[in-house]
Amino acid sequence: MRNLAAVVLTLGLLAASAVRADEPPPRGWMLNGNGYQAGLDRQTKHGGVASAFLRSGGEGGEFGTLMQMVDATAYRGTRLRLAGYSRAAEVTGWAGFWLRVDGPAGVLAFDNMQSRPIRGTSPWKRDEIVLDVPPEAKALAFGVLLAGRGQVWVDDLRLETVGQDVAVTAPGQSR
Amino acid sequence: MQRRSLSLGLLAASVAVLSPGVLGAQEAPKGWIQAGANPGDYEMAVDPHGGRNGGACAYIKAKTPEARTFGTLMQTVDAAAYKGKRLRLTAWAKSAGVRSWAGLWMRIDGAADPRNGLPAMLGFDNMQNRPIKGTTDWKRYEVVLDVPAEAVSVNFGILLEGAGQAWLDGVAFDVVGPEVAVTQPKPSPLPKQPVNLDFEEH
Repeated sequence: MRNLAAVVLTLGLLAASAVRADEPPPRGWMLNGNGYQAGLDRQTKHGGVASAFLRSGGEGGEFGTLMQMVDATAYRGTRLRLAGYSRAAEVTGWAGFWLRVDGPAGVLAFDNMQSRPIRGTSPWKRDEIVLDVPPEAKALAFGVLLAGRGQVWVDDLRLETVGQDVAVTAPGQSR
Repeated sequence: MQRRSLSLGLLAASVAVLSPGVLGAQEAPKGWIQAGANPGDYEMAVDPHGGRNGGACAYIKAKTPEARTFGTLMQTVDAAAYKGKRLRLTAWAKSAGVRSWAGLWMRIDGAADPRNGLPAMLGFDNMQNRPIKGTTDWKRYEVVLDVPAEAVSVNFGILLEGAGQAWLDGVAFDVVGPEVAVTQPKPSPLPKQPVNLDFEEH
């Protein structure tokens, strides 16, 4: 019975993939990773009228991410928090929000929630990443990643400066 | 010598593409890959007599005027022979009824980033700043990129976004000197602030 439910659900996912494989990523966002799809979902959402989804396609892939990259100038010298809500369905690998601070010669700070991953099927839940942005930071990259198969939805993200009372979730790599 | 043999290999591949195929209308030319965000919306195959000199050429054609995003007919080759060199991709192209744009493109990829599995993009030009639009006769186009020492692969092809058709012929690579300018456009500045974090903008 349980197996049948799994089969039905899988078929449903495949059918959905076939129908919506063409949807472009949400405005302002980039999709990276072969075998992954992203778009807006107007039924499953945390707030407002839509969320974004990221899912493996029919054949899946190793890794996909829906991301943005912004100039770090306005955030230099601050402690920065990426917070958002995510929901997961049948994630076989893991998923997580990620935030990376890039400097002139590489990565200055990075956290992708690999130590506290989103797995399997889970309801809407808030997660956050907190990193310091050093003065030499050039760019910020952030988004949601999905390793393996399955689907994640994300919604109501915020990228905001926080005080020193909020602990960083990963140590900086430059010093 | 290794470089020469790879270049000859590339030439051979080009020749194979240009020889009249026993391929079905929907099949990619031998050695080429049908790719893009919506490859299924585009037909990419050999035109046995549509070439610049009456022989075979490749084409990419939107199956309907509503074809989504883009399709591309492409190849990926080892970058080893071109490391530290300035590489020029030249090809002849023509177009018919290209409503959005088409272009020759080349991308130099590095090793996969261990954090996200994505290859580092070391160079890229897709002619978006000098697109092929509308209906045009055969014309020679160039894309010139530097291939850094850490390069892993060279990817190239022709892309078409939206309605219309483009033909490709006489694809060739050569290593050029510093007197030939790279065609890669300057990177556009990053946005100052993130956007659409609540996914309400469509």
